[in-house]
Amino acid sequence: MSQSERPRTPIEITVNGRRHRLSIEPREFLLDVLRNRLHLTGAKRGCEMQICGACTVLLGGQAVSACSLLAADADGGEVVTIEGLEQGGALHPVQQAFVDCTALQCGYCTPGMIMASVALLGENPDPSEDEIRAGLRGNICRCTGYKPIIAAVRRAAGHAEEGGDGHD
Amino acid sequence: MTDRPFKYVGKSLPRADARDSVTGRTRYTADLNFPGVLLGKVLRSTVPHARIVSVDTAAAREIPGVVAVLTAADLPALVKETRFGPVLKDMPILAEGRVRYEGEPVALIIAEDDLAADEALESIWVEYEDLPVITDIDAALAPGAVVLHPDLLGTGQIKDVAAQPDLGRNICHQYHYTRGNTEAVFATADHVFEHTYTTPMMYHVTMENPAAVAMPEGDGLIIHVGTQYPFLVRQMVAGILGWDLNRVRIVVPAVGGAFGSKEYMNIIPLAVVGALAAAAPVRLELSLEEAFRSMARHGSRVRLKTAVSKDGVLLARQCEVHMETGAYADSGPRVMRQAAYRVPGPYRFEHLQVDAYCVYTNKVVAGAYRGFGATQATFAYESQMDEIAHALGIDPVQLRLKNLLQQGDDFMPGDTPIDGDLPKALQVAAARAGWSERPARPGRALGVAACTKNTASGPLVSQAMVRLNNDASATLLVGTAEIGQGALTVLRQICAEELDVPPERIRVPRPDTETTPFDQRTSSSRSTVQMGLAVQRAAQDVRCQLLDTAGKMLGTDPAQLVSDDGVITGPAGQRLSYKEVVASFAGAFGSEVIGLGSFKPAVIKGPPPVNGQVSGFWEINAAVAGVAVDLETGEIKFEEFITVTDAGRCINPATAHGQETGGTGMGVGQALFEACHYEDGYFRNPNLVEYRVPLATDVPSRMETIAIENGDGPGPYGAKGMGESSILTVGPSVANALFRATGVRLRNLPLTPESVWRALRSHR
Amino acid sequence: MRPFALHRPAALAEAVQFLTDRGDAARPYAGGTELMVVMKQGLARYEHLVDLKRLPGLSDLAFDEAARTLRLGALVRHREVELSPLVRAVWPRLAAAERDVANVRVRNTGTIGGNLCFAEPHSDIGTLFLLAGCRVHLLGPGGARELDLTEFLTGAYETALLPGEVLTHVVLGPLAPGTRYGYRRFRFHERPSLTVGVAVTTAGDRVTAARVVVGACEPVPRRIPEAEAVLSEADLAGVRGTALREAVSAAVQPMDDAAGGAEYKQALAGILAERALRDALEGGGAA
Repeated sequence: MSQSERPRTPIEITVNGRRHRLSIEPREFLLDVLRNRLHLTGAKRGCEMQICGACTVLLGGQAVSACSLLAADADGGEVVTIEGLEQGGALHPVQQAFVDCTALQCGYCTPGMIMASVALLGENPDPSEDEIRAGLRGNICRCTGYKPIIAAVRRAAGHAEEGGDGHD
Repeated sequence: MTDRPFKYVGKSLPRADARDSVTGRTRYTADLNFPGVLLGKVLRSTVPHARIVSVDTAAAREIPGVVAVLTAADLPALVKETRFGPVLKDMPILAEGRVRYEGEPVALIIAEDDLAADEALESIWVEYEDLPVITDIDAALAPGAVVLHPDLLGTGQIKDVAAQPDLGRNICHQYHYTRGNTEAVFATADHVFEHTYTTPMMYHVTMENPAAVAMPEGDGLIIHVGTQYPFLVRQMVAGILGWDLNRVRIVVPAVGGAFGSKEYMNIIPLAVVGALAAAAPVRLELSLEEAFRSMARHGSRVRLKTAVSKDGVLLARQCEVHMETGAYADSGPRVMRQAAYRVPGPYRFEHLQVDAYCVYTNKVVAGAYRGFGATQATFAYESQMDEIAHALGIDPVQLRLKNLLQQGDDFMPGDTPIDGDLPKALQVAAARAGWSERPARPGRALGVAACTKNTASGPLVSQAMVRLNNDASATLLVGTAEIGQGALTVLRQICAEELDVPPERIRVPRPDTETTPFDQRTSSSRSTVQMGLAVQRAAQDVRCQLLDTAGKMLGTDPAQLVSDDGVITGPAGQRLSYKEVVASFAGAFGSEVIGLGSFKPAVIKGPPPVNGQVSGFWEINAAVAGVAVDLETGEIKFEEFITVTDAGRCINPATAHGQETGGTGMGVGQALFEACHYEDGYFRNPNLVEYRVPLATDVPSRMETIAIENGDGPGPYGAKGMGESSILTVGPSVANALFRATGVRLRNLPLTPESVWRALRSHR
Repeated sequence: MRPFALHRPAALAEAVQFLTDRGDAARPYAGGTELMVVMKQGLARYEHLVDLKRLPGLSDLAFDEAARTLRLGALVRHREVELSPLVRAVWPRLAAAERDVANVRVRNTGTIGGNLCFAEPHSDIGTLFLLAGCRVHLLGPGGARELDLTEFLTGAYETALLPGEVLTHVVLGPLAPGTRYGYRRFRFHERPSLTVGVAVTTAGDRVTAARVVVGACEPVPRRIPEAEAVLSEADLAGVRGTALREAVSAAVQPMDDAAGGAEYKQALAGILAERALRDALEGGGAA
C-alpha cells in the first residue's frame, strides 16, 4: 500500500501548551507522533506493551502509555511530555528532586518515571513510601534499585530531608 | 594537590547529565535523526537448529520501498570477513547454511519505511531442515551429540584468553587449575560436602533496546551506537571490512543501560552491511523481543566438593563449572575463565582443583553480564558456606571469619593480593543488620554472604585529553561510555579537582573514536580507577604547563606558584588568571592548553592461571539479607538488604551508592524472578509479560549501602571501582536467609514461589 | 503495525451495522489495551477499527437502589471503577481490587467492556464480576440480548459475541446488604495467575448464601459449587477455612503454564480462598 493510499485522519492536539493540527495515519501511536512528527524524543520506546513505562506522558493530566495509545485518541486532548514540565527555565519540583537525589543513572526510564511521579503527586500530594512504590509499579528502572527514585518523590512532596547530599 | 582539602572530590555533586535527563534532552541512538535514513529489519530464524535448505528473497526484492535484501550469499561482495567474535570468530553476520538458535538473523531488509520492511519480511521464504536440538549443558556434552561448530574457527581480536576448544564435545573453551592434592585431603578430612548449584540464562533487560545507525561517509563509515566498547567495536568493524581503523568512526550517544549487553552487539555488523549495500544511512532499532533474542547471561552449573575440618577450617575444594554460552562464543570464554578463577571464593585453600567448560547450546548467545561470571560463582560458593556452617553447627558469619582471606593475602600466586578488608566488611554488615541479636524464626530470617571479584584484569589501557580553553573553560575527552554508572560525572570531578576549575565549566562529550583518545573499554568497574588516573594525569599535565607559563610570565620558579580557584599566585603576591596564562601560552588570538594522560598497567605475565590477567584491584562485598517467607504459598518478601563494599574513596558518594542500590535491584531479579525459559530450544518468555524484572514494589524497603573509604585503592585519591559488587551477594544471601527461615535449601535460582513451595512440601 | 481505517460512528446502531457489514475485517475498539498489543505483533489484523469511545450511553456507572445492582457501561475504565465514590460506597471490595489491576496507565485507558470481550484468562474482573453475579448486555444486528457472564465467556480469548455484536454494559449484583466479599490474586508475572473471590451472605449468625469464584488459572473464571456448599447453610462460627481450602483445591483444574504448574496453582487456589474468606469475614466487605 503506497503512502497516498493509506487511510489518514486529521487530529488537533495540544502538546506542552502548543496546539498542533496534523494529518496522521490512524495506525500512528501518540509516541510516533511525538517522536517522529513533533521531534519530542523525551518519551521513550521500550516494551511496547504498557509494562515498562518509558513512554509515559500525561493526557488530560492522567498518565498514559504513549506507545499504545492511538494518536487519534488524543485528538482534542492536552498532552504534557517531559519537555513540557520546565517553566521559564526552572525545573518542575519533581525534576529538581530527581537531580538532587541522583535518582537517575542511564536516564532512559527517567522521563517516564518523572511523568508518572507528577501524575501520582497530582492525585496524592503526600504519598507514603508504600503508595509511591505502588504508584510507580508500572515504571521499570534497571539502574537505581528504585531507592533514590522513591526518595526523590518524597522530596518533591516536600520532605526535604530525603535524598540530596545524604551520602556525604 | 593533596595538601589541601578536596574541593570537588568526595562530594555528591549532581550528575553531569542530570539536567538533560530530567528534561528529556538526553539523546539515545533512536533519538537521532538523519536525513534519508533507511530502516533495517531482520528476518530471524523461527527454529532453534536447522540446516537452511533455501532462502527465497525474490518476491521481497520486488516490493516497492525495499532497497536491499541481504542474505549470507550477498556478504562476501560487501565485507572481507563474514564471521566475527571477540575470542572465536564463530558468529556469522547472517546465518550461513545453518541456524543455531531461534531468533538468529537470516536475512536483512533495508527499506524506506516500516510497512515495506514488514511486507518484505513476510514474503521471504526460508526452508529449514531441522537438526537435533542441544537444549542444555547435558545434551551438549552427551556422547554422540550433534556438533554445533564442526569447523575450527579463527580467533578474534581479544587476545587475553587463548581459546582451548573441544569442538567435538561442543566446548568452546576450558580451564583447568590444580594446587596441592585435593583427593588426598578428601580421603582424610573430617567432613566432605558436595553440592551442585545452578543459575538460569537471563537477559539484561536494558531499558533502551539495542539500536545502531551506520552511514557511509567518504571512504569511511560512521556508526552511531550505544556501545560500552567504542574502540573494540571499531576494531571489530574494521576487521570485518578489512579497513584501516581510521576509516571506521564509532560515535556513542547516551546509552540506556548496558550491564554487559552492549559490548560487541550483533546489530552493528548488520547495520554495517546494510549501509554498504544501500550506500545510505541505515538504522536498526530492535524491539524488546528481538533484544531478548540477541544477548543473554550465561546459565551455569557449579559443582563444589569441599573438605572441612570439624572446627570449620576449609581444607580443600574441587570445583567443576559449566557455563552455557548459547549458539556462539561471544565473550563466553572470557566470562567462563573469570567464573572459574573466582569460584573458590575469598577463602584460603591450600588444595584446590578447578575444571571449567564453556558449552555451546542452541540458545541465544550469552556474553558479559554485570559480575562477568561472578554472580554464578558466588551463588554456588556462598550457598555452600552456609550448608557447611549448618552441618557443623557453626554460625555462618563466624565460619566465614575463620576462613576469609585477609587484606594482603594472595588469592592466587602471582596476582595482585587481596586489597580490601573482607572480614571487616562482613563484621560491619553483620553488626549493622543486628545479626547476633536477631535469630531466625519460622518464616523470617537473615542470611549472609561475602565475596570478592578480581577486576580490571590484564593490560587495559586508558588515555585522556584535557583541553583548557582561553576562557578557562575546559573540555575533557575520554573514551569511557556513560552507561548510567556516572562515569562522566566522576571523571569530571577528578578533572575539576586537578585543574582547579569548577566542574560546571568542564564539558565531557560522549565518546567518538575519531576525536577521543583510546580507551580499552567501559567494563569491569574499571573507569573510575583506570580512566580516572588517565584523567588525573591529563589534568596535571595542563596544570604543569600553566604553571610553567606563569613562571615565565612572572619570572619565578613554577614550584613557587600556587593556584586556587583559577588564579595563580606568585611568591610576591602577583596574581594571574588561567585566562591570562592560556592567552600568553600561544598567542593573543586564542589558543588552548592540551594535556594528555595515560594509564598503562605494567605487563606482568604471572604464572598460570594468571597468564597476564593480573587484577587491577579486587571488589569486595559483604551483605545481609532479611526475608519473610509465606510458608503456605512459598512467596519470599525481600525486606531488607545491607551491603558493605570497599570503595577506597567515593569520588561522588551519590553515584557510588547508586551502584550499590542498583546492583541490589538487579540482584533481586536474579534471586527471585528472572529466568529465560526454553522448551526444546524455543525461547518461551522473551517479553515482560512472562519475564519478570523487579518493580518498585519488589525491592527491599530497607536498603542500606555502606562504603568503606580508607583511601587505599589504586585509583585517583585512593578510589576503587565498585560497579559490580552488590549484585554478587544478593542471590546467595537470600537463599541462605530462606534456609534459615524455613529449613529449605534451594540450589537453583531463581527462588520462585513455586520452587519454594515445592521444597517446603517435600521438606515437611 | 499495518494500516487500518478508524471509524467513529455517531450512533451505536450505526456501529453495529458497520461491524455486521464488514465481518472479520472490522473490530470494535475501546481502550485498546489488549487489541493494540496483538495488532502490533501482527497476531491480529483488521482493516477497520470502530471506535466506540465517543458513542453516548456506553459510559454510565449507576446503582439501582431497588434492585441493588450496579450498572457499568462497556466504556467505563478501570480507573473510574477504582476511584468512583459510588462504587466505593456500594461495593468497596471492587474498587479496592481495581486499585491493583495492572498499572495506572492501563487502568486509565483500559475499559471493562474491552477486558471482557478480549477474554484474556489472566484477568481480575471476570472473577470479581462473577462474584457479585454479572449479566452481560449485548446489542447486535438481531437486537439486544443478555447473557450471564458464564455464558458470555466461552473459553480463553473466546466469547459468545456474534458477528456485529457489541457489549453495551454489564449489570452486577444484586449486592445484598449483608454480603461480605473477599478477593485475592496471585501475581508472579505481570498478569495474575490466579484470582479467588469469596462472598458470604449472612442473616444473623447463619450463612444464607455463599459464592466462591476462581479465575485466571482455568480458561474462564467459574464458581466452585463444591466450595460454596462448604460455606452455605453453616453457622458463622462454624465456618471452616480449611474445609473451604480443601474443597477449592480439589475442584479447580488449573492450566499448567508459564504462570505456574497445575499442582501448585491447585494448592494456591485453596490457600487464597481461605484467605479471601478471612478477609470477607474480618473486613466486612470493605478493604
